[in-house]
Amino acid sequence: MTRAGPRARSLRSAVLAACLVAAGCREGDPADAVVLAAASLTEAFTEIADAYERSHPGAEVVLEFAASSTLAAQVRAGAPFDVLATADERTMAEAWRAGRIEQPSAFATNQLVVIMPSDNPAGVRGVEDLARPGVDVVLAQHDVPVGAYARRALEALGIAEAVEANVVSNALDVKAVAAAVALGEADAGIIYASDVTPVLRGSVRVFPMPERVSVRAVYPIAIASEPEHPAGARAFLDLVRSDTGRGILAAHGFGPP
Amino acid sequence: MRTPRLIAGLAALAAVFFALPLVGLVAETPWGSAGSALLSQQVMRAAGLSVIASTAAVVLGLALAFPLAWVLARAHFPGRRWLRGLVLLPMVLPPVVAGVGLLTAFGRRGLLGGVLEAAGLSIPFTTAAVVLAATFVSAPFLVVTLEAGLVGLDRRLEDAAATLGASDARILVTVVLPGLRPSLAAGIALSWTRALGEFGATITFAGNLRGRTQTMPLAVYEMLQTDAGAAIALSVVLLAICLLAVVAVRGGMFREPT
Repeated sequence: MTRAGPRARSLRSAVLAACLVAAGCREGDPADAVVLAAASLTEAFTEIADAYERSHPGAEVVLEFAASSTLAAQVRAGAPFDVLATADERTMAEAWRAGRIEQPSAFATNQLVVIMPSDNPAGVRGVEDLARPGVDVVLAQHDVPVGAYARRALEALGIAEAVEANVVSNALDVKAVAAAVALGEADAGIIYASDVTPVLRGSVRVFPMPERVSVRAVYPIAIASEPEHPAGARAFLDLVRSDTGRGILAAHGFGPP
Repeated sequence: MRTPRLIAGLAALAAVFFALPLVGLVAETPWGSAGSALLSQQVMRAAGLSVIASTAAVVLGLALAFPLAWVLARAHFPGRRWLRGLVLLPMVLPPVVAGVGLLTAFGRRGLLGGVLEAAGLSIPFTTAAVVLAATFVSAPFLVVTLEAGLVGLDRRLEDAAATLGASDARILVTVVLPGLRPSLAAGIALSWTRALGEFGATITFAGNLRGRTQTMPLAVYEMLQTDAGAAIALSVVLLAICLLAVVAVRGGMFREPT
């Protein structure tokens, strides 16, 4: 009888570990799904993916969260995926023009909120204060949906230019805006209502946008035109649009489309 | 031993692995349309900021690295290995971790935040933060090269100069520094290019604002989302600069085989 020596064994475990890391040795399941989603969907889609994996035993959902503009750039560059969910129609339209998705449809909406560190060092009492000189504001970069929505809202309030002068950083995605404010490094930022998670609520104060600002984020979702897992793509999209999916989205602060 | 065929073949494969991304960048560059993007105000400001911040990082880095390299090379004290590990850590640390660390040290709520605020200073999201981030990740390259240079110096020359009555300062300037020239050149080139390429610590600690904290790598990332061609062209420019710097110091650090 031959026995593997310690070296062979450690080699085998190294190979096994590499496989686990790459997930390349796992047999694919037709119900698997690779989902690219806007950073603001992180919590909601993680929960929806958990629900999906519970109802499709053996299937695995691979989630990637990033700014919608980053996702659109990846899709244009040929990234493999099954489902794409973005935070605005412009980024989805880029994927559409690249011929990489089926007809998209809106599945959720989101509101903008103003956040500041809980000790509120700059004494911000509303969105108008973001225009006051000396207030350090962090917004998402212009190409990132929440950055574009925020600027549209500020324009509606007539304070876009003054706030732009106070911007100390154009963050790469909405979560980076939240982090800069939560860490107390910026005095205020504009994010989505859905980004105010229980964890974030512990370190920031939240103000809604004034009623007269009608800017509302609309989230489209689409299946890849050439999905890796056609069945999984369809099933995941159906779950997002089902009562279960809507319930999860609503619990995370998203509105109906 | 002569170079076996297998090793030569594997070396050729390795060279292809390193060359292919560079070839890809050059081949994919839409030179015609990207030309105007390269001359855009955004790129010009990012390039200017990158050059200034990297140069400042090297100057600051030299001030930090020279005394450290000296004690690491010549002083004997407990914990020297730990000090070397500490100083070299930024070379292997994920840059984003370096950025978070810099925030916890120099941020508004960081360890020195109160002191800095009392002095009327706020570091995060400023050009100073860009320089600090670049210094943190690039100065270790100076420490490594200078320490190696100091260890390699012939101490007898310094002893002879001292016997002839030269002061410490004079020995430093006339004997030590000239002897360190190759390591200095290599260290400066390596740390300057490392500073130029810094991304993770910069975006975390200094943020991303055109003209103030947006360096060339940040501009590449931002442009990649809207104008991939221009981003590729800017990448080629960065690549050419780094290649020049590395080739220029080849003789300093890596001797040609004889």
